[in-house]
Amino acid sequence: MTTIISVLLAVPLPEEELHDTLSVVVVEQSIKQVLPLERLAAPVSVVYMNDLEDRGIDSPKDLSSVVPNLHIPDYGSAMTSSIYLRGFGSRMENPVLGFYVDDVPVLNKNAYDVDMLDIRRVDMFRGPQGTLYGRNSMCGVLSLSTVSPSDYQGVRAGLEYGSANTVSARASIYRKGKDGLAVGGGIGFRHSDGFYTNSYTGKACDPYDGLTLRLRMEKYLRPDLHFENILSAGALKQGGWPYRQYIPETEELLETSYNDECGYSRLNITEAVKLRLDRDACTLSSISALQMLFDRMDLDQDFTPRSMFTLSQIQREGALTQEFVLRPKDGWKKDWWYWQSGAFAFWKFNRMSAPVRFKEDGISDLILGNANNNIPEEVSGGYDAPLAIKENTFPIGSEFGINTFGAALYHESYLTFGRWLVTAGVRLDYEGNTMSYCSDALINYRFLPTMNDWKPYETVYEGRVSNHYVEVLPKLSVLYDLAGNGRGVQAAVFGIISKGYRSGGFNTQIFSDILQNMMMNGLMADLGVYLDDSGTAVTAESTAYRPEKTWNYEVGGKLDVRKGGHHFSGSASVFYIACRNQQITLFPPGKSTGRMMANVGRSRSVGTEVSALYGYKGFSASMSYGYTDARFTDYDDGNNDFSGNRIPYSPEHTLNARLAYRLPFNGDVVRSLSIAADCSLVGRIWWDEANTLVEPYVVQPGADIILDFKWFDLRFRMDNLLDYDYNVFYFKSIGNSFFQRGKPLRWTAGITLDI
Amino acid sequence: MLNNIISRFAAAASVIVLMASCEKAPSVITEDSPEFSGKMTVLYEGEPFDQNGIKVLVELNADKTMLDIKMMKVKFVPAMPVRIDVTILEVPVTEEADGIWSFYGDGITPWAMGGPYDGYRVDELRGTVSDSTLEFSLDFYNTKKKQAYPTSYSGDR
Repeated sequence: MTTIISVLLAVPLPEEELHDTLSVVVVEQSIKQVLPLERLAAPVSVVYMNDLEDRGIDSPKDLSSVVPNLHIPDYGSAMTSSIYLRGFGSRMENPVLGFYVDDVPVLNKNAYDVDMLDIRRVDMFRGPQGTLYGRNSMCGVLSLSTVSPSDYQGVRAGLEYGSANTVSARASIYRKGKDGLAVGGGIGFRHSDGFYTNSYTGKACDPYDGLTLRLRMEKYLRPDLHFENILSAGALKQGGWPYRQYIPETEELLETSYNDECGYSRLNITEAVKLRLDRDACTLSSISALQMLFDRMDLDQDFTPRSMFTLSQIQREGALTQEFVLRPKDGWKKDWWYWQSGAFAFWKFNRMSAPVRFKEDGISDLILGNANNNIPEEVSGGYDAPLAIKENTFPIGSEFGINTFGAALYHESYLTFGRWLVTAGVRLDYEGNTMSYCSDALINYRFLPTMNDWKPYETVYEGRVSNHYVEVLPKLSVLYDLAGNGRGVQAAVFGIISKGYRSGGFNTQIFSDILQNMMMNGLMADLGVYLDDSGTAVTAESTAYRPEKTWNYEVGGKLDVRKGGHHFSGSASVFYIACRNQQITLFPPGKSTGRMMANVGRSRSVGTEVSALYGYKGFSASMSYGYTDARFTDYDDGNNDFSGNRIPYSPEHTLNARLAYRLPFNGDVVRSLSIAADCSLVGRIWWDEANTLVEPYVVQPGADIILDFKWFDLRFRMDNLLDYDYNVFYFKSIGNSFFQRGKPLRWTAGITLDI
Repeated sequence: MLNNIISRFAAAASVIVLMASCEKAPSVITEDSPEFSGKMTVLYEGEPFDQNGIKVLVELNADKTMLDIKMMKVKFVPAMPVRIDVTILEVPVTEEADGIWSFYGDGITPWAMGGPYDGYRVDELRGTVSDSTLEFSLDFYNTKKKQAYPTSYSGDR
């Protein structure tokens, strides 16, 4: 086992030299990345298994700041997976980042936060990848490649223990038979008692138990037909949402304290079949996948000790994806022209139940309290609260059936003219969404001064809406090879123009508000009362939001130098992104119980990304830095004009630096000692559209020591060494403000085995 | 959004409390009753307050001695935050000519929201109704403020 730093940020080594910790074979990259990375006119970050393990990267969230301008804050639960990249992102619904595991697109963002078991390589393609990847790759694509039993045969295992009684264990085995059948399987388990305490119960509110399973089989069915089957599954059960109420007047942050149960459980299964037909003239690849996701979230939606209201959301989702990729081989291939064409189709069905239950305090405060406060004393008949609802608690039921389907055709050509490489491509994407909905509520109300009996009133809202759109996603890039065949030196400059989008959809979480609105209006109409100002009623049709689109303009350069044992690689790029129909999560004003996504206007993002790696013998240093200035250019919500303000939640700067030294012993038993220190910086983050709340720079140093024996490693790692206190999330609910604090100082000790 | 809902609910509640009860009004008016549309003018602090497009339903009782009048979505004063349906029950009526009926009533408690609305009283109600036109005038008398709001209506079918 080597501990050579193998993270390659933007400037990769030539592909034939890409080795990982497992063996000396080339690590395959994404099926669509037909060019060697050094010939790719786009910024790419690649992290290999060795570095993933050394840095303690267990989930995509841990890649934050390791990839410049990537920010995946660790808050809420595994369902959350808010992703911000280059100034854009969202807290809910569709992500700005496409997520692929072994070339299979993960269609539900709820399954983005996974335990990374035997991930051999992470490719992060920054900037819009719409031409090859289509929907939701507006700011980039994160592609994970798992260990292939064809490439590696052996046994791997690991056991770790750390802060908050966090235990993780994994074991995997990979074999290849004489008949060419390669089979691998792995299992991982992680438990944590949790880092946060709910002061209402006195118990940790974020315990976690997760199980990950993967089985992978590969075989040449014929000499020209390669078959792969990858079955992966994950199950987890956890608490979470350690939100703390913030009192703006006193700037006081209260303890996490809520009375209703919060929890998230998930089972996701993916079965993928990959076929590759190699003919004389071409290669045709097929990737078919079935994805199933079953999850349940229970939420104390007011996050206070009071019994206001709760949300229980249950999703049962199934999805099918199919992709074909055609590439030329010797017969069709030209020296100056290479290309790939593809077709993609998917269908996803989600049956969701999301009832909001109003409880005693919610009914008395949110509904009756405000209503009774507005009843004049002279007509209240001596009652403090003349209007009453019989139920102590009542649900607003919401059932949804959401179909999402799409199809795409794409082509990309790679044209070489001397030192010039021109990449031109276009994709035609169609996507449709339909949603059937049924919301209902039944209450019994009574006006005490005049009514002797409770009067029932039922509201039902059901129907079906649809949303369809077509996107054309072009791309043009140019790369100029500065070094030619310079020995040990590779240098290039590039420029790229590309378009990306993330899908539209429906706001299911606003339906409880719609029904409350209907209930009150219907009740009044039943009584013959009509408001002058009925306001702008939100209807099912108006909950549909459109795709968000970006154009990305970028120039950059790459340099890779290897001389005298020294290795330096670096890259830098400058980008400008123009965004239309930006999707922003809005909390309707006042004591709203819902939230919704809306296309609120336009914005732009300018920034830069710099990566560098230096290595000499056992010493290595790497850094990645991202700067983003992302602002609304046109956003007026009717009450405030936010044009010119920073887009919230996305950091201005991300920085990650790491120094490592490996001291070789060359002994039969102890082979080396590796010591590394790293530091990440994230900030500033603006928490609201008005830019009134700002999170300052967050600095988190870490360190790790690895003692490398012949058959195993002993590891010790610490994160957030300064125990820095910082916020990772802010939001408002029913007029209250909340923050979540980041995780405190953590340590992990463990042993890994590789036979 | 919930602010809107709550304010609506509060407005509804405010109106509810003005009602004596929530029982169903004993009116002969149905959805099929003749509907007139026209202008209602309320004299408020000496200034006319006009409301156009006000719908009024009228129905004679079985023996054609009484008339019910239901005014839809009306205000008594411009500052009212809501519009309400108001029904005036059992107004004595006489046939003046073929197809023309005149009516007069005084001291009538109107009905709204299913019950007698004793915050107001209808005085000096007088008017005529035919197949095509409806005209009447009345005083809405605020029993607490002890103030009358002269009101007139003219509409056709």
